[in-house]
Amino acid sequence: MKVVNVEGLYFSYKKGFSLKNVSFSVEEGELFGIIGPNGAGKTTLLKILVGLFRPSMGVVEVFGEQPWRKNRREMAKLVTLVSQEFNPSLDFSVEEIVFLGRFPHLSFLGTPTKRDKEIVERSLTAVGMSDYKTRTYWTLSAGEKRKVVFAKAIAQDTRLILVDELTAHLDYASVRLLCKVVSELKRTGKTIVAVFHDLNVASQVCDRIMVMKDGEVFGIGRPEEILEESTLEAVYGARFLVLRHPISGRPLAFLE
Amino acid sequence: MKQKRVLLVAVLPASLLLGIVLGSVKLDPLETLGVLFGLKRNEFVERILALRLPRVFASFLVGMGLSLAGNTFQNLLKNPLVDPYLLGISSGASFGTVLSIYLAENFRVSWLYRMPLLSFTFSVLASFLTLLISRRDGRYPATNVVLSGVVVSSLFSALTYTMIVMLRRNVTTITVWLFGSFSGATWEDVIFDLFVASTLLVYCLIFSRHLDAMALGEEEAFVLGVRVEGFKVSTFLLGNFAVSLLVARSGVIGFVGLVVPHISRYLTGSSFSKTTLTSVVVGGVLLSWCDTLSRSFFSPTELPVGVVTALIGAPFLAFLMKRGVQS
Repeated sequence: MKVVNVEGLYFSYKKGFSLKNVSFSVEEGELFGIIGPNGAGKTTLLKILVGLFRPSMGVVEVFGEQPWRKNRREMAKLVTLVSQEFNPSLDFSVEEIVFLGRFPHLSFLGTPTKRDKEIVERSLTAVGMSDYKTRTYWTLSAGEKRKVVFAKAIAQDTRLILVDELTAHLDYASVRLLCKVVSELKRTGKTIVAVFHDLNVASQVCDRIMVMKDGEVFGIGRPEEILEESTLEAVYGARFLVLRHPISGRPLAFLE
Repeated sequence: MKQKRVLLVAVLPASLLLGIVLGSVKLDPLETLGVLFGLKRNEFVERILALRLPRVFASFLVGMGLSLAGNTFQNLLKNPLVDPYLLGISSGASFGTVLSIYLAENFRVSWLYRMPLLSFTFSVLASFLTLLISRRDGRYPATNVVLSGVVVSSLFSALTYTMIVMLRRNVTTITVWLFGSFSGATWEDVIFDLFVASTLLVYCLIFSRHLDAMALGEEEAFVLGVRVEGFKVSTFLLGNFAVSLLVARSGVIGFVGLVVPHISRYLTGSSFSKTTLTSVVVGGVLLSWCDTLSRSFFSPTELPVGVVTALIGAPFLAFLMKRGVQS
């Protein structure tokens, strides 16, 4: 089943930037990576998929619905976005933030049920932050903050999870942990579309990767089809050396 | 945490009693309690109570309403430096009210006098103007809002002053409208304020999770399932409406809506449902204290209550801005 279906998508901001003729689809249970240089339109694409922006032209379907049309609460039960920047204006506790992930599932006056509490607990445990429940967000390190935001998305319990920059600005232990979390989510049947800055992380975890450049799709394929010297040079404008991972056999790219 | 709650609940009746016994005429607390609960009869105390009780309750309810509005606007605009006063809502509402009086007296449109239509219109106009001036690339930077709030408040305060001079009222009336006062509050005022403040309270409690989500940012709230645009408009209008109704009776009282949410968050954390309940107590108690001070300091003369809140609130705002700049 196609979870995401995009055909001939065009989009432009008032100030000129645009996505041009973007087409791709994501199958249920897939871990789909998006890579490309800064300003390629990766974040914009995710925001369209979650319903924040409307495309100027083309077909965008998420679970067969136009994301900006469908009832907001219903949509929030299906799709979430882990955005790159997360700056709450108030100093919430870690638990309060993760609890907000349950927002679409709670009725107006309903108090959180035992199940909600369990899900919040599990989400915190999944990212290794269950000991930080009562800490407030502003006192956390960048890596810890990222994990909390991720736990919130897990608590939202959606079938599709969009992630803007899975591992940016994280130390190695956190990168490893979040990769494990993502693989585990995939194992439980979630579909994940994630933007990656680190090509090698993308190569190790993704089923398929889409490369974008200047708002257009440059190529889609399995990691070994995409992480190829000629493709990477054409997209990033720098020479790369591609080797194989000794264990997984997946490609690894190094700047020459 | 528990201790804080117990303290909050204990402070409430104590400060109400304090507000009742203190003032230009001081009453004996025990005697007053006796009269209040119908155990004793004392005509003198009863007469003072008839004047002072509605006043204490009115100040409590207005304090509660302004604090709830301030708390709501701080979450809604993702800006911890706003309150109904700094957004210009209060000044706009005050001008609208005085304009209603002017029109009612000079053009015999007396229904305007009874309806808070103009104060609501001008409160929305003023707050809209503040946000319009402070807007930068779709955002409302904290200090920009404060600055444009000053611009808009000054404008409407000036207009209010002019209008009162045109009304040929004396200077005392002017200070009431520019700085607020509970002098001469009646039971009718209390019922009215109770209605407004409790409506706002119910709204805050129903939509507390929405307002938590808004504090994460508009895009985050959207992703979580909030219909952001609709919610913003409805909350903004309701907040304006509540404040304009309160201001139409008590005049412009600044800074309560700014200070109280901060104190509440300090006491009970940032979750909106908690800050809402804490704001009710802290806001009510704070403004009833301020009112008690305003009528005790220079008795028998009264200081407008807004002067007292400004004396407390202005340094507080300065502190917040300084801290905000540093972080």
